[in-house]
Amino acid sequence: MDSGQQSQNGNQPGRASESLNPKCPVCGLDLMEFRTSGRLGCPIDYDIFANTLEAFFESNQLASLHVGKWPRRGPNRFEALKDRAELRSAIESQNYELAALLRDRIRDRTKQRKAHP
Amino acid sequence: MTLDELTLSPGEWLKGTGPESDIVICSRIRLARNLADFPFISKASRADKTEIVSQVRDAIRDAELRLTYFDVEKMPELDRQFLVERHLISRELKEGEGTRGVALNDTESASIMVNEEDHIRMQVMRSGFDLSQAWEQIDELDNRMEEHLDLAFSQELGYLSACPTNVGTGIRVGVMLHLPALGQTNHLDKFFRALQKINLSVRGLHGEGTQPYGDFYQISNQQTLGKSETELIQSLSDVIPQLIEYERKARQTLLTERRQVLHDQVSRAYGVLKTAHTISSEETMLLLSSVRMGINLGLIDDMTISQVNELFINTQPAHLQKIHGQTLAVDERNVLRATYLRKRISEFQAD
Repeated sequence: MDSGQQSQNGNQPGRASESLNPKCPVCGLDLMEFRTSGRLGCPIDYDIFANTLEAFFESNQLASLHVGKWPRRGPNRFEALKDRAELRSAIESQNYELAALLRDRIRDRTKQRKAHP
Repeated sequence: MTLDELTLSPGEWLKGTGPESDIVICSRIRLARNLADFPFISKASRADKTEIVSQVRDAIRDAELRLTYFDVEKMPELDRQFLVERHLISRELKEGEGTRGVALNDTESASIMVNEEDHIRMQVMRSGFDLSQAWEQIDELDNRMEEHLDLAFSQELGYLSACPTNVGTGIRVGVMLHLPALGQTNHLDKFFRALQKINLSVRGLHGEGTQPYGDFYQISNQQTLGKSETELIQSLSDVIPQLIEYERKARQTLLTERRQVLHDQVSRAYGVLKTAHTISSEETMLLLSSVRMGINLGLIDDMTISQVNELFINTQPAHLQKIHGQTLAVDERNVLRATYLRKRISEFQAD
């Protein structure tokens, strides 16, 4: 799965610990939290924690690829999920121009989907 | 449909009909699904959860599934417990936080939980050993729902779930068995270890984290990735008939070798249920388990399996209180349970 997501954590002091404890830029879950709870925070986490999960799938699921049914709409690129997360952080950082832009994009996409499901 | 109307029927999974229903109580399949546009439940805000409920309810309406939605967050504690006892919601949904609910069909064979561990947990239950019908029904339900929803799905990993133990097909196939004769032999542990080796798990009556009680066991798949839904269903369809065969043989052996002891055990259980003046739900379940076996072996001939199933469901704490129309303390419940059992059994015998 390609989430196309870049890390948003540019803080220098965080760099070293970030590689040991990667954190999802969309839902905020980090590896430590995932290891404790066993629950993922959003679909993007499957990319963020891919290495850890791969080992888990091999030992617990005895497989690493899906071979069952597909939804009619096919795989998802999670654009709306990423936009929503970006909107949240734009509002938090008071970047209202970007927030307005993202809000419009989310609204347009919802409208489009309702018109052409 | 209202929750109170449900108290009038024993529920789909306890009908006591369907293939092999002397040993298999019910067959259950559930699918875990998540909406692509929202974080999983642990990271979802209250607004996210409200929007998820709204989108799922719209999909149920637009797909014309004829399900009735119940708001579990606003529901009284007694009603939540009532739905857990009927296996229509999980303990996790009952004890969860925030906006959540369940949509049910009239026969209680299908349910869709919203905002449980995953955004959507749909389930189909059939009485007896009937996995193929259960799959047909839930596959259709899933197909109709997904026409109206963007689901979190990846080409490599399939349906993405909050817990990686469900990723891929998101399917859990479960068969609930009554194995009282095998329970009296020393072979049950050996069978269960063999099942675990082929990635099947053994659990108690209420699923994950519950201990087997009253000789009721749930066998289900653990693997969800790397095999298709039909392959996973087949792995249970292959093994369950063997367990049924072993249980039947163990019952016959008990009948031939220990008939007096067995008849005594069954008759004593029946006797206590007919005459007790106070009884706990745990004791009731153990005794009903013996009576159920007695009916199947022809040692009791004045009660049917569907009647004993009715007693199983209606003597559980929340059911008893719903039937009585008020909440009661444990001691009061134990007296009411005994009164209910005496009354219903004498009515069955008068029929």
